[in-house]
Amino acid sequence: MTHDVAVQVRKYLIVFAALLALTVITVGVSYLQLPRVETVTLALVIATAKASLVAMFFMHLKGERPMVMWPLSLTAFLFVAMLGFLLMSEADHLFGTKFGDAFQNIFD
Amino acid sequence: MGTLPYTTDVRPDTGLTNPKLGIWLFLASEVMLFGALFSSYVLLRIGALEWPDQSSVVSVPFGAFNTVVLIASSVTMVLAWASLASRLPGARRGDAQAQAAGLGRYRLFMGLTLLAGAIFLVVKAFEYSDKFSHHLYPSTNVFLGLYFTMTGLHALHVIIGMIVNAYLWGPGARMWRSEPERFTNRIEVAGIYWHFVDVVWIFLFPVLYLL
Amino acid sequence: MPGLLRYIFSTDHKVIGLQYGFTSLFFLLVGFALVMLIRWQVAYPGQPIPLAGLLGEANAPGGVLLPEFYNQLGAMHGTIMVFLGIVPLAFGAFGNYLIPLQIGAPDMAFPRLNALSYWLYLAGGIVMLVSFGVPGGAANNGWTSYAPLSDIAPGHGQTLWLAGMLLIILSSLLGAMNFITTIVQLRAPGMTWFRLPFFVWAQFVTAFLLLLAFPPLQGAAVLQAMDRLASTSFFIPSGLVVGGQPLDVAGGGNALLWQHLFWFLGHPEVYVLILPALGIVAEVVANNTRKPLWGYRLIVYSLFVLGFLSFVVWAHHMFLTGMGTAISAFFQATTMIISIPSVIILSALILSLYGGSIRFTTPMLFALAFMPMFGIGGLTGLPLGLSATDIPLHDTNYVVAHFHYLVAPGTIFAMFAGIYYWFPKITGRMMNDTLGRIHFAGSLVSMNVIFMPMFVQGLAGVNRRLWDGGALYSHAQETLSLNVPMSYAALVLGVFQIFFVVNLVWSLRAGRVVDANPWEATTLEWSAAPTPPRAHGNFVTPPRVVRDPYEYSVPGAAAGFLPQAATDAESRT
Repeated sequence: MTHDVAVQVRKYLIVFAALLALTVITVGVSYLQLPRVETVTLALVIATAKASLVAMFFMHLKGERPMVMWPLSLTAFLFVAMLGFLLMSEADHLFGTKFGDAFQNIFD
Repeated sequence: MGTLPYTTDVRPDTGLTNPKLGIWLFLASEVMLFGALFSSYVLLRIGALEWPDQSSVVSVPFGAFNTVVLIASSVTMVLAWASLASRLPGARRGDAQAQAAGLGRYRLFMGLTLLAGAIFLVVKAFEYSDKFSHHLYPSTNVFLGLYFTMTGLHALHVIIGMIVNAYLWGPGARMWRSEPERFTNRIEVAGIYWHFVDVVWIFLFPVLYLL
Repeated sequence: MPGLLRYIFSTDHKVIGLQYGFTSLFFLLVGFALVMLIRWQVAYPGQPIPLAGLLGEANAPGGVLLPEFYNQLGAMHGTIMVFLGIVPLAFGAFGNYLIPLQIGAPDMAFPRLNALSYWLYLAGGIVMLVSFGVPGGAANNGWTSYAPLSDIAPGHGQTLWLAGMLLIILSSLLGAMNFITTIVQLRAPGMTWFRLPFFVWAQFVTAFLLLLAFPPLQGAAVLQAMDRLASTSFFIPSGLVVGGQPLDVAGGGNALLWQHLFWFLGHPEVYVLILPALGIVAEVVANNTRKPLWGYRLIVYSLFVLGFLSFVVWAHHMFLTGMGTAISAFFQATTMIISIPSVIILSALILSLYGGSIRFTTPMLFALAFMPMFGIGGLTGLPLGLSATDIPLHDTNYVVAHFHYLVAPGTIFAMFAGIYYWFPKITGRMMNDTLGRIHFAGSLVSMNVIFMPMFVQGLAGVNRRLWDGGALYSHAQETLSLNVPMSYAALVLGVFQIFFVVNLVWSLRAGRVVDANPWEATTLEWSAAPTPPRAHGNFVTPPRVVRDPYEYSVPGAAAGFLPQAATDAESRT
């Protein structure tokens, strides 16, 4: 691994440039006032892309051993499951009955 | 403890050293910690009757500046590792003179990483005091509560990373002479943690500033 | 380091395991003392309890427990038993002591981190104990600390509970990371994955549960600490009225968020309590039936399924929160599915008995009793996993009986089996068999007298957290009389534990001295390491593993069994 470190340094600098470019894009897009869904989707896609670049190259996750990848994949799945099932469990409360306004009126 | 296998060399069948597996497992738990906070953010925001326009409450330029600072610190961190890794005994430039030069370059890049971390924290402190001076506290609304909690927890991780990095920059660097390979692995492991702190911020920035 | 300090600040996994063991036994005793007060109060509500006057005017004026103090007892009994008693004993103590010995490693992968885990755990425990002394007393919102009650509870008890939990969580995370790294990296040559003793597998899956399920509670504890200290309102909804007054907070929070994050930990935590127990029972059963464990690979795979599914069943604790029918059906389905691997493991243990020449040693008695007790606890859980039956049973004594069957005569019996089984490993001496049998018989009978009537009370609808045990409710009258024998049985259970403590202390000094492998076991800790073990490094010569873990009753083998490690003769070739 050590003999091609010089090549890697060049790669790190390219990744750095890509990260800076993506940061500029995500900030720029936020000033465009796109519709809600597009804004959220774009921001998360860009953030995921940046995080993947950091993880793959800086954290050497690209080509990492299965014994690292398996626990991380499990973790990623569990995070998605936590968020997903949390929202699904609360879906009726969140989207079904927004009766909070009625409460507010009691104390006005 | 010196008799423990695979602290420095790689176990053949797993292809890993103990510290490397250890740090990744620790980060897996960190993913679940920040994951729980992000999940809370999503649930609270979807369920909210009203939500402030985030970019008018927090300062996007400061956030963007800090993003760049933290990304730059990740680059210097990985370059600090590379300066050592390319000069290990057995590597192409592995002689004694190169090793001394490697330590100098390592100190430079690690110093820059520490500097970037400090700048990040100063900017963060400035943002916080700006909020307080406008009477914006964690208790003002749920968004600000989440903003202070999540960035505060992240800042705590930055501080812990800086303490580790400062040790490795100073007294910890003695190991480069006695056990160069083990020291290089240490820098890699400290780097993996530091990059993770960067990754968390890469998600915190759009979620708390831009959306 | 000189003398005693060497033992206190040791980084040797065996010393740390013993530190965990003694500390957790102490906390089990504390938790039991709390529940004795609860049981007495429930049996004789409003009457003075002997010596309870010592608890102070603020808690028990004249020896009569105040309802507020009763709530503290309930919350802290649960917290102390689960987080400070059983998990540190099952995972911290047994795991630390045995994993390196069973896989042929000189120590844990990160010895200093291991010591740090213990000290964080001890600090968390001390914070929990100290909280009884602060004004307002300890946390009194149930061991689940449901919001918004826990958010707005006065005093510092709940805040200290959160601080203690954060320390304990950090300790568990470091421990879990250490255990996994050790099992992956430090297995001796030849110790392939499917030659690992089942106990190690159980600890491996447990470590993953702790590693990935605890952090959400960590996050939730941070959020609740913010609610309490910085007046945020993460768990306080808009327009919450307390005592006729609207709360003076911004609002906009979600009280159910706490429940979700808590049970995301809480359900895997159930398996953290159970899996190490299954591991211990498997070791004891294989050794005492003199047979290979039935379906070794099958139960290892079952462990994986169990561990994985335990992350996606959590909302079955929350059927009463009014979630949608579709997602409720999903959680009911996963809950029913997760019972399959549990049943497979239990069936495999029972099948392992078939045709064995069983030695009824004290550890084996506890292991044998574990099986039906665990079975009762598991089967009575099924109605709680189905929404239609859970709704009437929720928060009744039925639930209390169900999970106590799993952890009290279940896990704790397995812990006793483990202590009797590995005591000779630790000390080189046997524990007294007669005292052990008395301890076993008394515990088994009294445990059942305590918990079986709770099913009856629960089915009658008696709520689990009543200061008067239900005396105010007409529907509880029929089953109220059961409270007295249950409470006496709890006292009897305590009395029989004296036999255990006496046995433990007496055997340390005067137990029968035994050789390295008194149980004629195959696994590495008995067959390749000296007894009692070496202080550091564990093995005189690094073991080389050549066999599966349970090679008992091998035809033609001189001793009737073949150890996992290569014998001298095999090493020479």
